[in-house]
Amino acid sequence: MSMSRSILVLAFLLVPGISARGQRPPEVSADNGNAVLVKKVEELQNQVRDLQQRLDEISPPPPSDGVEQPVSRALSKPEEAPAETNSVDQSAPDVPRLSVQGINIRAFGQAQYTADDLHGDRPDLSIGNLTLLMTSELSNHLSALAELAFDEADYGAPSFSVDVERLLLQYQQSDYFKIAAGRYFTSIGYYNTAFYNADWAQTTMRRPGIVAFMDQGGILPTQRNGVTATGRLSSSELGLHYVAEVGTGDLQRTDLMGDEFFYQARTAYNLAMFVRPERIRGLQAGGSYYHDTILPTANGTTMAIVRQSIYSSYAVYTTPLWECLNEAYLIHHAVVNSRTYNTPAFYSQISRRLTNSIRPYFRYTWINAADSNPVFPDVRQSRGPETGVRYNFSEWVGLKTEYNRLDVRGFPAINLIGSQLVFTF
Amino acid sequence: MRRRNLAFAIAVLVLGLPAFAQEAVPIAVVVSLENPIKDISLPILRDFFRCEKLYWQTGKRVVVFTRPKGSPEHQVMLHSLYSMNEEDYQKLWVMKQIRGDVSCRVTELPSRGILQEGLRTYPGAIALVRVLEVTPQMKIITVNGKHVRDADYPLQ
Repeated sequence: MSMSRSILVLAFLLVPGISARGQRPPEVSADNGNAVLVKKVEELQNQVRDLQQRLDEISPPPPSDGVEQPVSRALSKPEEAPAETNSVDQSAPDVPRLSVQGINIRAFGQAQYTADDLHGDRPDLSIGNLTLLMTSELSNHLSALAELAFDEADYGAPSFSVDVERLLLQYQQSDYFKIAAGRYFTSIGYYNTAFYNADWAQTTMRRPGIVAFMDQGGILPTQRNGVTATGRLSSSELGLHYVAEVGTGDLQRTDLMGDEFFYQARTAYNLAMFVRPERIRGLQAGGSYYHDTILPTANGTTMAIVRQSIYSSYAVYTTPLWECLNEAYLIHHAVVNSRTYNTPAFYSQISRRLTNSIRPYFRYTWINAADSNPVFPDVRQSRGPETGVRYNFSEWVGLKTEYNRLDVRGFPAINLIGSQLVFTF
Repeated sequence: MRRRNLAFAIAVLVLGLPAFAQEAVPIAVVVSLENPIKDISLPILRDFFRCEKLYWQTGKRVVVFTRPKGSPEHQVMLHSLYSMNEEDYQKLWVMKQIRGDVSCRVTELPSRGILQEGLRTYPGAIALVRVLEVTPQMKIITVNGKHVRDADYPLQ
């Protein structure tokens, strides 16, 4: 009995809910209908009057010239847009960003723990760096970008340095031509301009050794001051793009032992091309050629004049599920009135998302520099694997745990373990 | 026996309701009435929504409008144009900011009225709209030559 009663109650609850979807208003006669409509219209008119009064109370007075602002003001074009104040910009969907006077600010932070054979029983717990990325659309074609990095000195030194990583004024004329002037990341290979300075953006704890920043032992000129132009070369499905760069700026390099190297540098040229075929979404393949002249110096004395050419090629495949990065480099150093050195290098990285939160990864890096290379004498032949797991607490917070082994020719192997918490806000 | 039939009918209704609620809503691609375009290929539509292509062939700047998260338009956009979930979609926009694609614009509009106003204000505007909400101020274009009524319409 109670069973059938329950079923009946359930049926009563369900049936009205279902039938409501197909409900039509009750039919009324023409006279009755008119009367009802007239009454409804009167009610609506009263409501509109009330709302208008309330609106007048809360709205600012009209401009002195008496011209009413159109409703479309809310959708005004960028060049007509009034400066925003403490409002969330809607140019990107639902991404939390602070917009102050038209500037979108995003911060990237990290905290990490590392222990390695170099530092023995002095493991390091540091807050790493804090990066502030500021962008602003100045007009339909003009935009600006600034990236400031607050770096903590290595191994717990209680001080920070501030670096201007990028500072660019960009002009986009069309899909085929965009030019930017200022401090930029060089388009040598793929990694440097795919992840920039944001540890949050990259899957692993560190950049691959070959594309590491020069103050972290890297050997590529990752940043220059100058002009960079980019765009599509055709509208075909191949998705052919170009990048052309001219830049200057002296270089400073710090090796893993903390020794510093200085290089005067003359004008650098870089030309890169890549394809993003429409038929294979996620695939990008390309190459670049970079050339400059550098003068390694010690105590203010020039040690040599070196013509440096860097060739790179890469093929990467990135989708939400897979990340497969492969890059190869050849760094050619021609010491004026002396010999030449070739430094080949490559890395391969693969990772696959197992669940929405967990992504294991593996990378192998290999660099083969001559022991007598005057430009980076510490690099020698360096190789080793890195493997780890990235766990995302949310799309904005991730934790990476990694093991890394580095074999440098002539030195004992270095083992490193670490964890890195990365976040953006 | 009658009880069993009644229980069976209710079970069918209860189990069938979610499917009924998730019935696919046809989503049209609409542009401004001023836009001479009648058809767009799916790859170019993807490029527009991913801000990888910012200009129409006429030289007009593309302005992409979408409806908020949770709407059928947003779901179709994620599935057919981005091939990713909401989390990856959010991350994509941060990556674009990191890469300096500042002039990119995909604007979420909360209502059909504002969307209609957007299409009127921007001659280069393009948006996804459920068919029932298309108004005479919006121009439906075909995708890969397929109309939204066609069975093999690409935005499903």
